[in-house]
Amino acid sequence: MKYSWQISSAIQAGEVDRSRELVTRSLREGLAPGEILDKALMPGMEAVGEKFGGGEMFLPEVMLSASAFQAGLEALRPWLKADDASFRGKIVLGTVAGDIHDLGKNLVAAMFTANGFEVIDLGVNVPAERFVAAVEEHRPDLLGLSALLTTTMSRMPEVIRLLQKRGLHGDPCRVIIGGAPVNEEFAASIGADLYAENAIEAVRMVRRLLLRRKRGEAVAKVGAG
Amino acid sequence: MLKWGPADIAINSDEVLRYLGYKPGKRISSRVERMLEREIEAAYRLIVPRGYFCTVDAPALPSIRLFQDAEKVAFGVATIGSRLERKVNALFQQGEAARGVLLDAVGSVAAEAVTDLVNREVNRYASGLGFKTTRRFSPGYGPWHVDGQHLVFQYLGKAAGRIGITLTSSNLMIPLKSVSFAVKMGRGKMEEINLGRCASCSMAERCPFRHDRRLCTKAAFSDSSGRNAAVRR
Repeated sequence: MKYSWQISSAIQAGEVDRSRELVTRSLREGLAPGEILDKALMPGMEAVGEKFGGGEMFLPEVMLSASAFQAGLEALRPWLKADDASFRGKIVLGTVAGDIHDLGKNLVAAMFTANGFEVIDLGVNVPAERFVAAVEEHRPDLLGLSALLTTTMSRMPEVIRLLQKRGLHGDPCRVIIGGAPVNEEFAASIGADLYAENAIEAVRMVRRLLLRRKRGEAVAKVGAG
Repeated sequence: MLKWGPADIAINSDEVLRYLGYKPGKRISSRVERMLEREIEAAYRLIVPRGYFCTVDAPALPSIRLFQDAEKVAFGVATIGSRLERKVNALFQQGEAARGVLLDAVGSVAAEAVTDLVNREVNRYASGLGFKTTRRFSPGYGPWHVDGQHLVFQYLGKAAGRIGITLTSSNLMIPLKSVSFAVKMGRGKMEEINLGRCASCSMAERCPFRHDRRLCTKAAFSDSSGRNAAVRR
């Protein structure tokens, strides 16, 4: 596809204006919006994910790339098909009660925002009751829980239990957890649906989940994503 | 209370990059380099460096194995205040995540730099008494459980509050960019803490500090369930 390499490169280099301009030019020249998304924007961000995973890119560059991706996606958004569910999700997230660390949660929020999701950020030190009330109010696709300490990660199951008690866990609202002390095994043990090691991985997993849901497939369990 | 001006704090850009995971000696893009310079400049307008330390006779301490070979123990605390972390949050709110990430790392390095200054005062005091000192070590790192915060803050007393640091019920310090630590003092041989502990650390595999033989500042501990977990500032 014409411009695919340039758009992907602009995203990898974190060039916000260039990404927007190239997407706009591609649209003006009649390229299909779905193709611009699948063959230019997405491969750009996937390359960023791979480079980050491989230690070739670091957080500041990744966040610049996310901004470039967001700029391209915003230019494209009015022309995307209404059923493109993977870019129209909603996530409620926050750091659990007792924990006031916000950097990891902020990174995840920024990455979801860049990817076109509606993000409702509840902040830090969020009690279980507030998470559940926000799920009731906003009816999100995902609830994201963050914790940075062993002493606070134990508050995660409390939120999931309350969510289940109110009948709010399960489609449409799945739970994704993250943070330094948690892992896939812990996620499975507390009934979380997804665990992501970093913000890029979180978006990738959630998008996959929404695509599956759109196709009417069974939702993946932790570790199967 | 120990007070310094922002200009007394050396914020080393290589240290910030290392904190962000960049390998030493690896070239970074001129764009990130310029952004980092700007955030370091911004940090100097945001940090309020404060510190305090006190000393306790080791036999007066609860029987904690960590302190058994010391004659005295210094408990210290350092902070850069909360303005920088408020600015980091504002940057994220404004969609400036890359700047937020950089300024946050600058803040962490600045907090360590203030801690270095408090540590230097501890060493000077110990030297005046004819004592040797160990390197500093903090609750929640290596073999010292995060519950150790209670002990540190018990001895720091109201002084911690006077420099603007409070301890939450989950043992976290507010402002987040604060460091609490202990230094062992004595005339005999004392065991260094947190050295060679990587083998038991859950972050060892991906720890960016592992290769340059520095004292661990991003370590792990085992809680009562024996589960390894990380604490990061």
